Amino acid sequence: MAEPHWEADEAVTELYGAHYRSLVRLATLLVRDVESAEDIVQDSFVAMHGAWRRLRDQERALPYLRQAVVNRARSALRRRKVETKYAPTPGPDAPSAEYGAIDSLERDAVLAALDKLPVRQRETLVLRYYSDLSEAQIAEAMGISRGSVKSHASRGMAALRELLEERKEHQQKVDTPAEQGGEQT
Amino acid sequence: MSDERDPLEERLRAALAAEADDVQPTGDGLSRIRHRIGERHGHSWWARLRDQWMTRPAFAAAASVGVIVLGLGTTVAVGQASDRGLIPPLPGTSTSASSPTPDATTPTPSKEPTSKSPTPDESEPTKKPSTTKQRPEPTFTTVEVPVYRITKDGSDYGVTQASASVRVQEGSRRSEQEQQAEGALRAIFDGGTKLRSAGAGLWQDGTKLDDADLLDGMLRVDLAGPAGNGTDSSAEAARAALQQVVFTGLDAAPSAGSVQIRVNGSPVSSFWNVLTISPDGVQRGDPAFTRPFNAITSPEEGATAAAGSIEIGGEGAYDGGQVQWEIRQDGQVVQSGTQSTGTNGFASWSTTVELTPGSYQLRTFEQTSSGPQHEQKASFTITD
Repeated sequence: MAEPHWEADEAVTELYGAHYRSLVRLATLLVRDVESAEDIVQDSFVAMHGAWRRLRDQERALPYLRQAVVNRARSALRRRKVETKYAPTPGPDAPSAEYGAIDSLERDAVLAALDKLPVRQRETLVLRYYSDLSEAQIAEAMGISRGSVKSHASRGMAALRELLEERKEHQQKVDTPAEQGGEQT
Repeated sequence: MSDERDPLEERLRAALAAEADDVQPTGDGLSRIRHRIGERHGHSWWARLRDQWMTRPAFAAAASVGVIVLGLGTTVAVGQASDRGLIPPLPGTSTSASSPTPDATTPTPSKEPTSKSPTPDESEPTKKPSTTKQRPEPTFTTVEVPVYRITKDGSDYGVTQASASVRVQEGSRRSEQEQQAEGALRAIFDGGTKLRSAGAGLWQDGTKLDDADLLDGMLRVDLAGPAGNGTDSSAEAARAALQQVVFTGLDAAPSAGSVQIRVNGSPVSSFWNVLTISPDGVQRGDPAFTRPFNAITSPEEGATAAAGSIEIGGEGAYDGGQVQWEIRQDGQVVQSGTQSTGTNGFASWSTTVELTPGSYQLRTFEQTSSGPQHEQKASFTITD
């Protein structure tokens, strides 16, 4: 019944197998760049290996890794902001809807809006809606109180809604003038 | 009605899932992690043996005699070296964490630095108990020491270097560094609101510096009063307030490797109830995380200067290496300009302006396509 006792090296191997991919995905959603995300997650594993003697309880390992990933992602974004001020935008909006790429357009719109949120709101929403973490787990991963999680989540959703509405209105304006222009002339 | 599912939640969930599904990590992650662990440990073979020796006494018998002797011969050092080597700091987050969280696992030099670099400054207090009291006339010298102030930029906090004059007593049983550190920290806590609250009133009113002493390579900063957060209870604010103390203390006392935060005489492991910190000492945070993107270094908020040429300046990481500045009087821009730092990275800038007596405000910002960003302001007065 007792949990197997892992040494640091074993812990890395076991946890890598179980969680590496999902952590890289989480980090990618936070920093929007797979290469940086892998670096962040690998670094987090190295940190966890170092802290293993102190962690003692392997149940703590995944929360530790998540927290390390969130913190490092935040640092990476800051560094990136310093280096380039703002990460290059992924390019123009998705090519066109004519290939039935509605899903891709929708995804891009939601993610572009998400990118515009303040870091903590974005982290909260990613941890909640991608990682499916509870408020308590999000609070732990982000090093904030549960109350702050609630507040970041509700503000984040409100801002996201507003941004998507704005985009929709903008899109409608872009589409409509062409028709009106035809009538006027 | 309130039970209805928010369609936006579903859209967000679907978008995140779809985006995540596209992410395919490379296959060599584990070997790269192992390689990094090896690099971090330097002699990875020794680190492995040490780890196992630490956790499995029986392993010691099977391990090489040399290793065991070395381990036993330097029991304390090995334990601490292990902590230092095995527990890396997280960039920019050397202080937040819960029990051993990534942040809390910042290397904590504890007592080790003393043995490595015992400086006269550090050892002096214990060598000379109180026999110097017959010294006739204390002589003081005034030194300028860096003191960090907190700047707020949107929701980001940072610490920016300013300075304060500190009196140091020559021949005191307290080392020069210890006196400098205490003086610099007093400028934060007791020196009015200027340094404490430039940009943000972070510390709760009534928080005082009780004492700062340098012992065993660690600067112990003892706070009295509430020692909690003022207006902002966020972890960001707490990190900035903590790093303000750490940067200031370590700059003033360079022989210290870390800062132990104490409240009413006892080391604390919780900072403002939002950060878990090591009671064995907190290290300097990663500059990339702690430095603001735009800060005014001159003039300081509330400063007074005589009419004539006035230096204005700041530091930060500006888009295109360009920072805009404006001097306003009664809300009207009286002078303005653009200064180039020549880099997108961190850099400082300064220029001089001619000003007649009056009250002014300096505003600095970076101009982006979406308008001014990272705006900072400092009010100052020019006298005759």
